[in-house]
Amino acid sequence: MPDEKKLKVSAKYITKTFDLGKTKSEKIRAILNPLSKGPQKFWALKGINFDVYEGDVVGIVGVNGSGKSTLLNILSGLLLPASGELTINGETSMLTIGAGLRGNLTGRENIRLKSLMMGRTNKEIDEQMDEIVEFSDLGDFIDQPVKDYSSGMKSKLGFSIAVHQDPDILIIDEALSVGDQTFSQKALAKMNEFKAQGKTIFFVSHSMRQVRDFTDKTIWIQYGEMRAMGPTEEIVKDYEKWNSWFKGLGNKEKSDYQKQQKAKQVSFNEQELAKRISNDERLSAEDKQRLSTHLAVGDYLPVTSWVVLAAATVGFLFTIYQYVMWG
Amino acid sequence: MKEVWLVLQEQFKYAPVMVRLANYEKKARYQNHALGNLWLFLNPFMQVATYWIVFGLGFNSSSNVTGIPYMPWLIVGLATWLFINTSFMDTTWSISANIWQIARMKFPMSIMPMMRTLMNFNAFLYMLVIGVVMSVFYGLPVTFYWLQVFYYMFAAFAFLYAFGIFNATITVLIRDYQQIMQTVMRFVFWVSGALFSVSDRFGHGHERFVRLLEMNPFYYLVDGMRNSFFGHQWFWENTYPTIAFWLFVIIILFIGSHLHLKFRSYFADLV
Repeated sequence: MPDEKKLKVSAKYITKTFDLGKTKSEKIRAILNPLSKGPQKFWALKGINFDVYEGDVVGIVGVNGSGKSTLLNILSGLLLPASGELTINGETSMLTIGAGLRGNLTGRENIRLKSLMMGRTNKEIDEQMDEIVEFSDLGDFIDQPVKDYSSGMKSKLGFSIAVHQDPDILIIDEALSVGDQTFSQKALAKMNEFKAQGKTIFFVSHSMRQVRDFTDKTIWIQYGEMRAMGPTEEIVKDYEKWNSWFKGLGNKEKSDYQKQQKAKQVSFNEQELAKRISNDERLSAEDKQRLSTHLAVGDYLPVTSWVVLAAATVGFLFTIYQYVMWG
Repeated sequence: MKEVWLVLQEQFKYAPVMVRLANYEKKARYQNHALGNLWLFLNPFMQVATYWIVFGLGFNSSSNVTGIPYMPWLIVGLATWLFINTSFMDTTWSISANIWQIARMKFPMSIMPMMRTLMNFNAFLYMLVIGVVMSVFYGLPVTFYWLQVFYYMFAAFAFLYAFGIFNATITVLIRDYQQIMQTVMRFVFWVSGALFSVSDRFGHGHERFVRLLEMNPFYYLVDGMRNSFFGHQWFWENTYPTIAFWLFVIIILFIGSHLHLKFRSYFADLV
């Protein structure tokens, strides 16, 4: 029964806007008041909804610039959504191409650095080192600087580090698309192991074969919108159908279509978002209200802090006066 | 108060992670150099040697305390200045330069400024030891005032922690801040008293102006560290500067931690 499974990630009407303003002060203003008027905004995500349970391996597909990476960056905690609600039960680990490795350090040193950043102790790392090195299949290259690695080798190393951090939720952004067949098999086996342990995996790839092989559910994102979510077979078939329709268009039609979609992402606004939310019958009136307002930025400085700050400043100035004038 | 409490909690909770990372980064920094970790020591050493040749031999400067030879006096003060200055500038980019790597990790970004500070601490200690050993060889007495060195180290860390969070946050919000600070620090260097005593340069009749110039936290720390080894005064006897220093640290800590917490979820959007 799916009801018995534990909810791992729940996204409710997640939006992300990138403002098209150029200066930094415009950006800061947009952050302080994200749904306000002001410089034009681009809605990279226009309200994404999904629930993912433990043991789910979820593929995310969509054309370039559809918002896949933005969604993953939000899931991994790098970016904050502009509105909506995201609940994550567990720790996430994200793997990207290049995998945030440092070029001047060797493979082995990168393993240590990343593990330290994940909060491991040196002793724990020593114990795990051989296993990670072994899994990465890099052989003698493990002691070479990472800048000499091929992209496939980098992705092997990144994947090996990420899976050995034992995350609850693993997020893989295209990182396996450059690996060879042998390593893909190994990665697949590891991912199945994770699945059996009740971990959750998000998997982004442009290779439909890999998505079919690796995942059992798929989310299709198109121009900031969630087109569909369901069993991988079904969604991938629909997506491929759409893709071959799109390929069949003439060059002018193609670019017109893209322009039209992008224009929709600029003209989208909070009223449209609110309308959409209000049509959702599963939500209470209170939830609707909450989800259609943007997330407040941090707290204002509380009164007590103002008082302390003011007192400290006065004291500071007085002390300087005393010392400078009378020694 | 809450915001200060929050960042302090993060600092203590993640102190072990921070120490391990700092140790590792320190080793990795000179990894590709033939002389390796020796550079940790060579860099500050060469700097002191240069200043000594120019100001000790060339301009014939002297310390501000009668009877104290210039060389140990210079090394102790300059070591302190180099530690504070380097760490201060390192904290400005500590978050913005690594945002993509650290934002997804399992530690709060607020520990990054302190991590940079910690990386510079060893070099400071080496220099300090050289200065102290030299002063012993010059025949200067070992006194109880030496114990104050722990107080001034604590004060330096508190100052760098508070200002570090502030610096790192402002650099993300306003890129120019780093450039501005570089210029400011070049000026501060001359009023920090690292090379020569500020009061000597002005002479009589300018006491108030000199005291005003000396009312900066950098002078407080540099002078305090020297006082520990060569002076005859406890830090609490230096009442007004001590009070002003700590009030300044508190003010910066409040503003820095508030801005940091307010904006940190958006750092990746801003960098």
